[in-house]
Amino acid sequence: MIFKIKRFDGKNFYFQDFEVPVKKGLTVLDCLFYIRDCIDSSLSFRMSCRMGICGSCAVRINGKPALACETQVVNLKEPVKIEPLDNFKVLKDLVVEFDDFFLKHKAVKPYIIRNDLNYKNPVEFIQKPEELKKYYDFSLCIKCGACYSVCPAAATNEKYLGPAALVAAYRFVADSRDRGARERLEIVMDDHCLWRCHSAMACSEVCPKKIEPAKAIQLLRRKTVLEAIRRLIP
Amino acid sequence: MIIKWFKPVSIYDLAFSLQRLTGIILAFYLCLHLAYLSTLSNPKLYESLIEITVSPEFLYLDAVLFLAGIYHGVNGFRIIIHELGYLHKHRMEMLIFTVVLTFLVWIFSLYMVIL
Repeated sequence: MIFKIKRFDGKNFYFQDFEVPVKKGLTVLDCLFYIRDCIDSSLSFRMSCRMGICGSCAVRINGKPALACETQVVNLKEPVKIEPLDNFKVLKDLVVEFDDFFLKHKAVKPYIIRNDLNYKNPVEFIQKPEELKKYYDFSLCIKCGACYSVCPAAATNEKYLGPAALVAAYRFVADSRDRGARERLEIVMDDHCLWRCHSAMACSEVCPKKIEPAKAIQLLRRKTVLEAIRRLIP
Repeated sequence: MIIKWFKPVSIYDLAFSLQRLTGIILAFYLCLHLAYLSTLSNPKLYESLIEITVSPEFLYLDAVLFLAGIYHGVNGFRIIIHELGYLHKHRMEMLIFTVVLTFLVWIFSLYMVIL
C-alpha cells in the first residue's frame, strides 16, 4: 500500500511516497513505525499509548483527522494520505505544536473547584449516578486536538478557545461536586470564547471518542444564558 | 484565513459553508435591493431598472436567489434547534430533512412564480 506523507523539514512542505506491505489488523500507526524503522528514520510523528487513550497520534488520514493507532489500514483508500493536523503550527513532519491548545484548556480551569477542601480530614464528595450521567460522556475527551483541527472558528480566530477546552469547561460546570461554575462561566463568556462557535458540527463528526463537543458547547451556552439572567435578578 | 470556512471535512462542514455562502449572497442582494429602492425618487430610472429585473434571463437569477434564501432560512432553523441543545444525535436526519424541505419549498416557490 502506498502512503503519501506530508513532510516538513523546517522550511518546506512536500509529499513523500512510501510503500508499506500491509495485512489485516495493521493500523496506520504500525505503518508509520514500519516507515520510520525500515525506510526513512527521519520521519517524525507523535505517539504514546498505541490504544486510543493518550490522543497523541492524531493526524489527518485521507483528509479527515483520526487517531493513527485506531485506524485500520485495510479500510482506507489507496494511496493513504497522511498529513499533520490543521489549525496547529507544524514543528516537523506530522508533529504539531500543542502548547497553545493546552494553554486554552488550562484557561477554563479543568479541575474541581471547592472552597471546603480539608486535606487533613478529607471527606468524600458524594455523587449520584444520575449526576454522573450529566457529564460522564464529556469526561472521555483525550485532548487529541482532532476537533480543534477542523473547527472553522478556531481556523479564523486564534483566540478562540476551541471545542476541546469548551468541552472541559462544560464537563466541570455540569459536575455536581464542583463549586466553580460561576468563575468558569465568566471565562467562557468572553468575546473570543463560547459565542464564536458557528455550529458547523465538524468537531462532533471527527471526535474519535464520539463525545459530541458541539452538544457540550450548546449546553454550556444554555448554562451561560441562565447565569446571565440570574445576574440580572437582584 | 476566511477561505478555511470553505474546507469541508464532512457533510456538516459543507452545510456550514453553504450557510456562509448563501448569507453573503443574501447580504449582496440586500445591498442591491436597497440601491434599487433608492432610485424611487427618480421614476424613469426606477422603471428602466425594473425592466431589467423582470426580463426572463433575470428570472433564472431570481430562482437561484430563492434557493439561496430558502436554504439559508431552513438551515438556520436546523442550527437554532441544535444550538438549543436538541437533536444532536439525529443531526444526519435533521440535515436530510433540511435539504428535502429546502428543495420542496424552492419547487413550490418556482411554481408560484411561473403561475
